[in-house]
Formats: sequence, C-alpha cells, structure tokens
Amino acid sequence: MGGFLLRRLAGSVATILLASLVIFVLIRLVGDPTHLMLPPEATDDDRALLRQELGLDRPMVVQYATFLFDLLRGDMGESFSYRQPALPLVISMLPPSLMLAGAAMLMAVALGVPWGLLAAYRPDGWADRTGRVFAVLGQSGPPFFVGLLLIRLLSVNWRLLPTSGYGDVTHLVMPAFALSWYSAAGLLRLTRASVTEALRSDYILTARIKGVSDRAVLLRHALRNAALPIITFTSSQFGILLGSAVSIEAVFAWPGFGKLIVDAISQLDYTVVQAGVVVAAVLFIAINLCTDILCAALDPRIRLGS
Amino acid sequence: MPGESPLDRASLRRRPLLGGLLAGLATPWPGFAATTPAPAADRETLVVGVEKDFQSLDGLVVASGDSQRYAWSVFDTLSSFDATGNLVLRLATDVAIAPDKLSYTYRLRSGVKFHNGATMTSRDVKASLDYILRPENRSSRRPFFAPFVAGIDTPDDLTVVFRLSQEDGVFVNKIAGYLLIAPADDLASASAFAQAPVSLGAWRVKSLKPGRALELERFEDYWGPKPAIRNLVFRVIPEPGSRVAALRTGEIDIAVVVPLPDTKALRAEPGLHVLAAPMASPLHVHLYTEQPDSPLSRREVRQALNYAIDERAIIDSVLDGVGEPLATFISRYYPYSTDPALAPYPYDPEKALALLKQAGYPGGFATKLYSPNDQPVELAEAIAAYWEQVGVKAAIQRMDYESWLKLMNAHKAEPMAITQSTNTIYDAVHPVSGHFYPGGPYADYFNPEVKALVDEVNHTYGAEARGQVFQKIGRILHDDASSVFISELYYVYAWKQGLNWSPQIGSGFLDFRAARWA
Repeated sequence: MGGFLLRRLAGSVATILLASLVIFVLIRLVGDPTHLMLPPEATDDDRALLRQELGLDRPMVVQYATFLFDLLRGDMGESFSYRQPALPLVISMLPPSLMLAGAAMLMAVALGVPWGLLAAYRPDGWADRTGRVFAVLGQSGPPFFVGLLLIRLLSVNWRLLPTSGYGDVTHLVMPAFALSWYSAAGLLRLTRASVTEALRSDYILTARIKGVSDRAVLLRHALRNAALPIITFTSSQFGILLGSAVSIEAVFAWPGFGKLIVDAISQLDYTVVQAGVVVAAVLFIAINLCTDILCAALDPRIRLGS
Repeated sequence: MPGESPLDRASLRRRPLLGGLLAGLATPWPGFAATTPAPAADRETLVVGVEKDFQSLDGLVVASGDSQRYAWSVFDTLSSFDATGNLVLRLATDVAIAPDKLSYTYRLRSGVKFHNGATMTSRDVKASLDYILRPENRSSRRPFFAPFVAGIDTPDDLTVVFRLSQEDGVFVNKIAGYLLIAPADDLASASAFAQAPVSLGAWRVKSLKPGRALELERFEDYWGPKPAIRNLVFRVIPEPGSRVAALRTGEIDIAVVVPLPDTKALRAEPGLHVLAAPMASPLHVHLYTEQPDSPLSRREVRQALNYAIDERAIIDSVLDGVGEPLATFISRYYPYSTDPALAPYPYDPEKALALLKQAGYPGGFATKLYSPNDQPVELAEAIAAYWEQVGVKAAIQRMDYESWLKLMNAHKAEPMAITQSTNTIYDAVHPVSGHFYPGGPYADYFNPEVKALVDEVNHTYGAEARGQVFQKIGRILHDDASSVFISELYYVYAWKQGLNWSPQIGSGFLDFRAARWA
C-alpha cells in the first residue's frame, strides 16, 4: 500500500507538471491580455510597457521556470483581473463548486441507484418503464436548459424557490437537480445493467435455492457485486460534474470554480487559468486515488499496486 | 430581387432552435404570478441585478466599461456628467483654463470627507492621477493621460493645477470621466485598494464577494445630498434569463442589460418600468478602404452597401425593435456632435445596383464579413442577405470576441467587420480618431478632410465649438460612406414601478444617487 501511494504520488506530480506546462503554453498562444486590459487608444509602447510589467516580455522558458519556482512557494501570481493572489482566489471558489457537485452527485446516486435496482428487479415493470423515460430526458436535456425550465416553473410561476444565488439549501435544490439529472440517468442505466447481469449469475441462483429472501439477494449479493462499475462511474461523474457545472453556475448565479476559470480564459487572465488547472489536476488525482482505494476495500481480489 | 426586401420580418424572426426555446421561456406561462412590486429587501435597500462579476473595484485601473456599474456610487470626481452627458462640477467649484490651453486649474470644495474620515485635499487629486500614470499600476486610463500630462501642482490644499505638454481639447471630459478621486494614503497598496477602495462617493464598500455580490452602505458624511437608499446591493446574475426571472419574482429591484427578446414581454407586464437607454454606441460595419484593388476603396461601392440594407427592418427583426437607424459614425446621443438634419441612408437596392455598376462591379463581388460573438449572428446573416440581393456575396466569419479583437487591433479583420464604438466621456474624439485618424488603433479608412478636422477638434474647446467640428466630420463620414451604418445601440433596463429611478442616457453609468422608493 505504501509503495502504491508513493508511486501514485510521483505520477501525480508528473501529471500536474505536464498539465501546468500544457496550459501555460496554450493560454499564451491564444492571445495577448494587454489587448483586453488596455483601451484601443493605447499605443504599441503602452502595450509593451504593460507586457513588461506583467513579465510577459521574457522568453517563455524563463516565464515557466519562474512559474515553477513560485509554485513551489505556493505563489501562483496575482490575477490580472481581480488584482489579488490567484491561488487563494481559485481555492475560495472551490467550496461552492464542491458543494454543488457534491449535492448533485448525492442526488444522482439517490435517484439513479435505487431506481436502477428496482428496474433490474422487475424488468418492464413500472420502475423500469418510467426509468427509461427519466434516463432519455436526463441524457438529452442540456443542464442549463433544465435549469431555466426549473426557474420558470418553481420560482417564477410557483414562487417555491429563489431563482438564483448562493445561500441556504433552497438556493442549492434547483442547480443541484439540474446538474444531477444527466448523471442520475447514467447511473440508473448502469445500475440496471450491472444488477441485471448479476441476477443472472450462478451464485444468485444458489442463494435463491438456499432460501435467501429477494431483498437480501438484491441488496447483499447482486448490488454488492455490481457495485464496482457503479463506484468507478460515480467517481468519474464527480469530475465531470465539477467541469460541466459552468453553465449551471451561470444560470443560477452560483459563484463557482468553473465559471471563474471560463471567465479567466476569455479575459486571458493567465495566472487564474494556471492556478485553476493545477488545483483541478490535484482534485481529480485525489478523487481517482480515493476511488482506487475504495474499490480495493470492496473487492478483495483487487490489490493496489500489484 | 431588387426592390423587394429580401428578408421578410417573419424569416428574420426565425431563430435557431435553442434561441427560440430560450425566447419562449421569457414569455409568461399559465399560472404566472405578476411581478412583486414591493422592494426586494426593504425601502432603504436597493438590489440591482448586474450581468458581470465585480472582479476589481479599482476604478482608476479597470476598463471604464467595467467600472461604470459601481464608479458613481463609490467614487467621486472633480466634475462629471448630468443625465444626458453635459459637464457639471462636483468636487470642484471652479475650473480655469489658461489662455495657452496648457494649464487647467481646479478649485476644490472644502471639508469634503473620504470614507475613512480624512479630508480631501489637492494632494489626493494629484496622487490619484499619479496612480493612473504609474505604469506598474497597469491602469486602462493611462493612455488617455500619459501623452498630455506634464505635471500636477498643488499650490494649496484646495487648488490643483494640471500642466499639459500639448493641447487636449477634451481634457475636461477626461477629468470628469476617468479621474476618480481616492485618498493618497490608500493608494499605496493596489491590491488592497482593488478589494475595498476608499473614496468620496455616496456609498462605501461593505463587502465584495467574488461571483456573488457587491454590498455598499450609505456614507453618512457624504458631501452631497444624502441618498434615500441606505443599502445598495449589486447581485451578480450573469444569465440574462435568470436576471429577468429574479426581477419577476421580486428578488431584485432593477435588472440591467435586459435581453432584447425579453423587452416586449416585460413592457406588457404590470408593475414594471422598462426603458431602452441609448449607449451612444454606433453599431456599424467597419470597412478596410485602403487597399487600392479592393472594391471598398471605391466610394460608390461603400455607398451601395449602405443603400442595399434596410436598417429599420434589421432593427425590428434582429434587435427586437430596440435600436435606431444610424446616419453616420458619430452617435447622436453625445450632448453635441451630430447634425440632426443628417438622415440615414434609405433602403434603395436599385440605387445600390446602379452605384455598383458605376464603380465597375455590375455583378457584385465576393467578400468576407467578420462577426464577433458579442453580436447576434442573425445580424451578420441579415446584412449578408441584403447584400446578396445586389450581388455582393459576404462569407460570414464568426468568431469569439477576443479573437476578433485581436484581429481588429492588428488591422487584420479585413475587408470588413461588424463592430461598435463607445466611450465614457461623452465626446466623440476617441471613437473618431481611433477609427479615422492615421495611426489610430482601428484606422483603416483615411480621408484628409477628416484628418484635418480631427486636428482641429483637438484644439477646439467648449461644447458648441466642438459640436460644429464633429458635425462636419459626421457629414463627411456619411457622404463618403466610411462605414456601413446600422443602428444606435441601447441597453434595456427594467425596474419595479414603486422605484423612482431613471438610467443614464448615452453611457452605461449606473447612478442611484437620486433613486428612492415611492
């Protein structure tokens, strides 16, 4: 286990460095932020002066070396737009994003897994039929559009929930559901398929012959053995939810990490983009590591590092 | 065929599926509850839904367009603009211009308090402009002052003298629009100042929550008439549909930059004021006229492109009726500058065909039209469709705003690009010289008469005199068809009927100093 963690740590550092290098180069190829920071009336000299102030006049290799050196000290520069340190700014936007993605993930699991289980237990039953409709709608409706519909229905027409903003749980319900539907639909389908396959296995037949109750067969035997792909899928969905929350953050005025990065890209705010990519890489690596450890704990046949 | 409008209004109204669905969402559904007329919070609080995040509050540094939302609430200036853009004195009681026009002396009000309790002196005014001029502060205002300001003197606490190295006919407007006054001692840390600036405005910063809101509280020692609104809250709601929904449910009191497709529906709703305020921003097709072999180098061709489009139909269809046909490059919503007798080009495709023939292009020609994604794609499609009726085939090059801006700044968005031009000092000199003066950042059309008049206006003082020069420029640009003129641009604001407030005309400045609940 210790060796596995060390190897993963070394690999993670390399991944983060590679990600930082790629985004460092790409964002500089996209454009020159001085065109956006200065008015059209600025002269070439004005722009050159600003590039010098921002350190953008130095060779890219020197800029990247400086970036790495500062990174070791936890300093990722000052945001051009916010005029505050980029890393704390990015980190300050993480809690709302994690809250939104976490709530969406919980909703997706709470809806998708039991529904998929019921659909597998009674193929073509009511749960299976309604589940198909739910899955098709969830996987074909863009989250932002679902969000706008929810605002119209639940906020404007029925006045049940606030339209947007960041506050108590009432602000979280609609964005989390709009974000979760796609994942819930995927989880429903996957759970149904995995459990259906498990229910056809010999050990299930054996359990039934031994007189194990339907409930125990379904939950203790079929679901447990079908859990690995569901967990792997869920963890990958968490990353996708974090990334795809951008449109939902905009629709519901949710102050998230995704929108911060997208805005930073459009404004060519290099430091925020770089800090965002590094933080995202760390986050995704941590999620993947947790998933591996959880899978190993659930399935003794999996040996970490072997 | 010529003589018929190639794009009937119904066809222009056809939107992509997604746009149609979103527009449909704007229409009240069955069971729709009317807009809540009561204040979102209480009668001493105003909640304003804005479209962009407040990233930095350093109004001395950030782009003017960004600071327009909070600058007049938090900061104050030596002079400013009234509701329609005329210059008025604020922190200054008097301004004297030396006969050689190279020195401007401002006398300051006495006893004016900053948010931190300090008293404003000429030292603070000097420090504020010095702050803009220092390159390390990366101020977007620096290019407007650096070429002109030779020095700043403070002979006493209430007198400040700006010495110029060359004449600048629009210097008083720059002082009004760009020089926000901050205390000298607070400008030491740009980073801290950006998060919680101290100035002399009617409200002071209570909290700035990135991505969420800016909360201001009334400054009780404000030097001017005390505003009725104690708490001023700007809520960031980037999605236009959500902003309108928040107004309908009463969560906000004012929605700024209402999406144009929602305007009609909102106007029909009880309990709301809806106003389209002109931005003094001419929407036009920018033409590269300097390539000798380009059709656009011929005046007849440029005129033909203007005659070939029906501005009114495009406004009604693409801009949902929110616009006004444009006669020339200079907006008529500057307090001076345009000749009211100057009329937009009429829609006359027959004349367009004749002019193309006269220019040697009887069958038209092929060209490219750059369209940034901050403008509706239907605008470029409509223009191209009209031109196609006279044989001009424009391939639309759609791109994100940043890429488009990069091309424009490098003079590479040729042969033509849709654009708009605006500024925050209520004078046309920057848009005009930027587009038409040799060396200007967007100057891709040259005319010696215009150049001479721009030189003249840089040495012309006073609204009336400057207006006369700008009117001549506007007439030349119209007659010579420097651009293809489309429409004046408007911002649409919607607010609750119980609120007495009206938006600024001719700029995007938000002014709540006189706002009050009825």
